[in-house]
Amino acid sequence: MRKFLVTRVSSLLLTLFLIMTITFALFRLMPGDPTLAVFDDSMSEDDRERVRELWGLNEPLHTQYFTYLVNAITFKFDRSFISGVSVQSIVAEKLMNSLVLMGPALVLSVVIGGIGGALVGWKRGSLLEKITVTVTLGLRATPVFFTGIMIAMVFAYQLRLFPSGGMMEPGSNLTAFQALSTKGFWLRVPLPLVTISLYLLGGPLMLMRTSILEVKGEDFMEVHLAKGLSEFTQIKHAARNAILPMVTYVAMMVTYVFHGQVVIETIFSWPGIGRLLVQAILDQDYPVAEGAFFLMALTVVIMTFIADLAYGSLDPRVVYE
Amino acid sequence: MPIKNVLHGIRKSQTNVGGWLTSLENPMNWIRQDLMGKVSGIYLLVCFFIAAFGPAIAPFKPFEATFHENGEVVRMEPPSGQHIFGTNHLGQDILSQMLHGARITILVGVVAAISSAAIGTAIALLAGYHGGWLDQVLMRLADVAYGVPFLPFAILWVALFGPRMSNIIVVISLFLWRTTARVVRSQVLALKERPFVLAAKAAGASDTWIIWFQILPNVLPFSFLYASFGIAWAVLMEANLSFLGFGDPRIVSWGQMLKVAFQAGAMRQAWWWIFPPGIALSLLVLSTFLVSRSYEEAVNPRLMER
Repeated sequence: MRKFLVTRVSSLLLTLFLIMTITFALFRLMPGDPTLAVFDDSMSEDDRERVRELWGLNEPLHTQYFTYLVNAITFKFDRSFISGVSVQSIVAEKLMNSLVLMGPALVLSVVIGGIGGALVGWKRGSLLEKITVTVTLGLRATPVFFTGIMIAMVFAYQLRLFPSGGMMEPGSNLTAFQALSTKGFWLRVPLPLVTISLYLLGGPLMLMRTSILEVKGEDFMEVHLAKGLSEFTQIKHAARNAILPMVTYVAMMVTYVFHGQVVIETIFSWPGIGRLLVQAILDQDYPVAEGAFFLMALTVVIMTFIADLAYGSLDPRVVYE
Repeated sequence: MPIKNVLHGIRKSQTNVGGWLTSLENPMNWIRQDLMGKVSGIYLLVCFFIAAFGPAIAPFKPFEATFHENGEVVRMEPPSGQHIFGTNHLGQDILSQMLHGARITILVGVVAAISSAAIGTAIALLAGYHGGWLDQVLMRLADVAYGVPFLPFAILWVALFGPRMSNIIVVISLFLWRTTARVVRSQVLALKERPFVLAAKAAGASDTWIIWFQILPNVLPFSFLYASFGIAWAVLMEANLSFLGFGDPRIVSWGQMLKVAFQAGAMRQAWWWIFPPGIALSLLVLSTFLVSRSYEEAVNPRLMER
């Protein structure tokens, strides 16, 4: 077990290191000067040079790389080029905004998808199964921005039930947790939440359905049937075994939460981390972009590790030497 | 029991062991049996047909503004006799854009899917068969592909290399290969220990021969399967990328149409602009999913008998 932990952790660290190197390389390769976003012709060349010095852009590439790695390890990413605010606070704030939307969406889709998938898998071949599977696949096949546009069109523009965008009342400057108590927030959450959940439903549902199908044919299920258990109890027993692939899948879905849903955030003007990252790339705001990328990579690595451990502890057939 | 039935039964139960021909034989029968698969297959053929001949039968050019008799641009007109799907805010005919866009959307999807399946299978063969440090390095690369978020990275890529279609296909393939690789690799790991492989080794077959003639034919069904799933995912990825504005601006694709519609504020009234590309995209991806699923029933024997 110890050997497994050590090898696994070291390979995950290697992955993290690779991701960071690749993103760093791509950024520094990008043509264009970050100072252009903040300077114009009326400012002197000297000031420009000083800012470049300040931002560390004049250092040779390997020095910049080294500083970058040190920053990542100590979690101190300096300040944004554009706004001057520290990267930690920007990233943390936007991350909270994303989490507050994606967290519930994730829970909803896993719970509904899981239960729905189990039921549908149990009743294989019935009309319910055919309809549910087609509808779910249809939702998954529709590009998420199209569902979003449809929902916004109907509920926000035509019926005028919900506001069409943003996270809070315009002009308020609250953090995500403070916003939880405002009415503006709760009016704006449902539409993006429903859009994302509808899209994400498909994965857990189809996965649960497949695993239930595989478990249903096992010998021990026949024993339960012979014992005369109610159908609900049988489904419960089957579901317990079918949950295993879900563990890995849910871990992957958590990484989606941290990767941010750029498209949804664009349509509903939600100030989340996906949009932050895209904006930082377009503005050539290296510290923010690198900080956000690092956070996402770190999350993936941690979640993969947790998923491995959870899978190993849940399934007694899996033995890690 | 007649000998023929017994032999047929043995042959059927050994669907996973065989040469190149058997790997292609079964799935065709299954797709024909599954109704949803049939319908979706027909729809896909229609789409491919449109992709091939669409631009030739389109009444207008995609970026051509059309005019009334009095010289005014035909802006945001709902469907009419002359413009079956109506026009957009620049007077361009939406039906023509759909017909031209079909080719781009499907082309990107298919090429990205096939190349990613090829790359994924190749990597999986190498990693799975040889094992050791090669396996570790290649699987780390796959983890990297999982760890990086697609849209921000693709935007970075496009900013670096230009929003040309070829670059978009490349960056999509860079993300798609990982799923194929994982699945094919676990198949290779299982196949590696099968008696017929060990027998070939004992008889002196080289690694290359074993990979090419024994392992590859038996993992090909999975490669095809994930190539066809890949079409669906690649189309969605391209649509997402175009929607955010990072597609190739010189050409029309269905995702691009939705982007222009969104930016022009068509969400409020121009349903004729929004529905066709959106619904066409959804139907394309859905039918690819359904065909892939019925193919999967053939390839995954555990799902077959249930």
